[in-house]
Amino acid sequence: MKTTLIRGAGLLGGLAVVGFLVAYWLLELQSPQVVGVGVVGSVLLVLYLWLDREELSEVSQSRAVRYGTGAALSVALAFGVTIAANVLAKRYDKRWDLTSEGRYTLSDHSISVASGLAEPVTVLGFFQTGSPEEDSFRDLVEGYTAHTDKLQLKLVDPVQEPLLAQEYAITSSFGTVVLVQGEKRQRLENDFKEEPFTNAILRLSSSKEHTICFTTGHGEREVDDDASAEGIGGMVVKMEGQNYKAKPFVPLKEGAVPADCEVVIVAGPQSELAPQEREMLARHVAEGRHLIVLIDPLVANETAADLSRYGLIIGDDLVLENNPNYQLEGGDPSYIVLDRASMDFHPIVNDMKAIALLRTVRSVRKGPDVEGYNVQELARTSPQSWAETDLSFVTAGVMPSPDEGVDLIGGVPMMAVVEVVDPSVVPVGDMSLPGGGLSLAPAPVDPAAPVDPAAPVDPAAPVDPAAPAEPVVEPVAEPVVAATPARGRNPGGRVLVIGDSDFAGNGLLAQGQNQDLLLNAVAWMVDEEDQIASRTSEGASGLLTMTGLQGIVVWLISVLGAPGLAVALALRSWIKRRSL
Amino acid sequence: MRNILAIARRELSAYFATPVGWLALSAFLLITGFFFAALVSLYSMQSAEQAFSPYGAPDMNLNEYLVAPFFGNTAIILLFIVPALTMRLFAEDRKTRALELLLTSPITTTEIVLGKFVGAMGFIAVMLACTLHYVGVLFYLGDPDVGVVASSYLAMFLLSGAFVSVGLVTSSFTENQVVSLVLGFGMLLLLWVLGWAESASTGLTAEVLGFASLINRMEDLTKGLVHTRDVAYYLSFISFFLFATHQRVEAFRWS
Repeated sequence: MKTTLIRGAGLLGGLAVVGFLVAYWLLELQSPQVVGVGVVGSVLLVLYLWLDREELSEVSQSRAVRYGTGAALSVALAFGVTIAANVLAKRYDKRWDLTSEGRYTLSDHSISVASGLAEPVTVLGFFQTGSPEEDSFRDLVEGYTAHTDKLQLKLVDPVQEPLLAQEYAITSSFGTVVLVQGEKRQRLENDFKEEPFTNAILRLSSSKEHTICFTTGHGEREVDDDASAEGIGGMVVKMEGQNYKAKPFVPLKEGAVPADCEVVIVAGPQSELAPQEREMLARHVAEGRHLIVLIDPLVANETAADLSRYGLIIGDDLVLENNPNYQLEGGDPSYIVLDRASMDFHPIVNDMKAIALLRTVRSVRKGPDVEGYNVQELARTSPQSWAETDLSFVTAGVMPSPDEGVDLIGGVPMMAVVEVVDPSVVPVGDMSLPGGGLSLAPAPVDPAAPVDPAAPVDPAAPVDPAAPAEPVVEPVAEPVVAATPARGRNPGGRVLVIGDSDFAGNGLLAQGQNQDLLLNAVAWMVDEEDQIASRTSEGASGLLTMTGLQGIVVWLISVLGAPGLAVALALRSWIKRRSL
Repeated sequence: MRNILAIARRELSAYFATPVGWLALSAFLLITGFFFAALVSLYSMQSAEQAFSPYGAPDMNLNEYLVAPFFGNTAIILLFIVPALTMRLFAEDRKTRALELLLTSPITTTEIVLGKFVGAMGFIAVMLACTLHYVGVLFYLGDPDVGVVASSYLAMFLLSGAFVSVGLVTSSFTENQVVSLVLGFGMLLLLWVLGWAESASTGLTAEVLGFASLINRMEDLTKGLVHTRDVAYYLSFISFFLFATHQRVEAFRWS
């Protein structure tokens, strides 16, 4: 009786301890009652072990128990080793993305953003536990944490942690991501792919918002239009995602380029910019700020010719590509495909790995050398292309051929960049409006302005003879200060001219690396070269269509073919065994 | 090594010598074939709808919507079939006293366990190889990712290895094949659904349950993402259960 009671107490104690472990650890019921059960169970177990020690000692002397205990301990040890191996494997995990398009591999841009993080960022992912969105997002963040230890992911189920969800005003049932860095927060709703996540990190970690201004009033591409093929709204959305603030402005109405505009983009003007407006842009550049001109062929020729003041020659022509390797399928020669081989070495294009696609392009080339400017052509077409100057073929509809000595033949440049080493060489003329309505005072001069003493100054900078006679060029008397002082670089601004604006329009923006071309240019101009990279590729789509007959064949092969063969072999095996 | 291969050959030929092995193979191919054909038909219909959609087909991905679900279904079928294949490995030998012969022969316990494991894995390799014609169909009709398909087969092989190792240990505990089947299937099902308990827990518990789940560890592999932690998980899982089987079989020597 006594022995039965002792063993019963031992069994009860053992069960209580197991129950306590399950409740406390697995079910997380950490109440005092549960702890009490654990304590009582332990006491009972210890009592049993003490009171029944003689019997236990006798049993333990048997061979079966000795070997059995040894085996159990070995298995327990192996279990421990297995757990330790898995903990180590989890900690030092490496991964390989075997998808052909690198679907789970971060783009260079995202890697650059992740590895450039200086301050810790906490990523709160509010997802329903076990949802596909949670899994995908975890995979994505793992890609970033492989490149930085500054990013910490915390997945939160809003149902299980309602207070935290309330604190961050979580209302979406499809998930919300909040990035927190100190007091700053960035929020993502619905779209948790790589590009928006990288952009959110950028916005969070960037200390400054850069303003990019778009001229309007000359038929430029619409900044607010992100739906039609002609608009440039898609690019603007991309820029805003990169922490740039886009702002349209009418130069004549403002009287000058607004002071907060670091970069002015003239995106495909269809009519001429007024001479005063061109002077405003020149002053903007002379002040150390930046200008991007996307200028299409056949239009705004006077504005194009005026760009000679920056040491560039913009052709009144249309570039035609005759190399099938650089043509789109169908062979339209006015589409220009640029690849890595087309590009020169420059921060804007160094990371271009895929193609860029331009449509109806005019040539943009370096003019005669001007002291105070560094001019570089960024991309050229293939040797089989030329810049057709006789544009009558456009209306005649007859494919022309290159004219030796007239047309620019082979390797036609269509984008060029100018770095103003000496701002005083930028010719800035009169900005007064007709009738004397507005006269702008010169920009204030900062005596502490960093001027490169080594840079040769040529106030009488030569201007391309093809440049229009107006306006009268009056070199700026003294170098002016860059409105946004750059980190140890030339005090002058930067100018990029591309002989096409279609590539940046909504219609072609998704093609190849078109978006990167302009985004990289802006990043380079505002001295955010760490943001220059090949951006996200979200993966390829893959359709699979079958004819009705193919569908039937697939069903027959899958459901009847292979299983039928195996059944036949089973029958053969059965018959063979019966015949034995 | 020669002994291991001899035992493996014996086990493999045992599967094909009786109609049971062939019937298991037919059942496996019939069910996977049904899932494959159904998935291809569904994806084809979705593709046709997307191709004519004015909004284009931005999110159609053959690998994610067809290849990964197909291998997910294949894993579930293996969960049912593998315990049936492994139930006899030791149980039958114990019942027919063949195990005693084996244990008294100059073959080590390790060789016996590994031989039986390799034999069962050989049969599963044949089963998986018989699904390669589905991949051929996919390549004929569409453009699946070779890397995703390869890592999915790796996942199936590792998962099958885990199933076989559990089947071996349960088979070594009983002479009754049905009991071995029920025990093996029960254990695998429990390890399979551990991931479900993850959603009912939080913190470290959720993390441990999620990590220990057999199904969670193969998800990335079927997407074309090979983690060393996942491969290590399966290899360590297999090693542990093979060791446990070894200890159990070794016990027959001194019991």
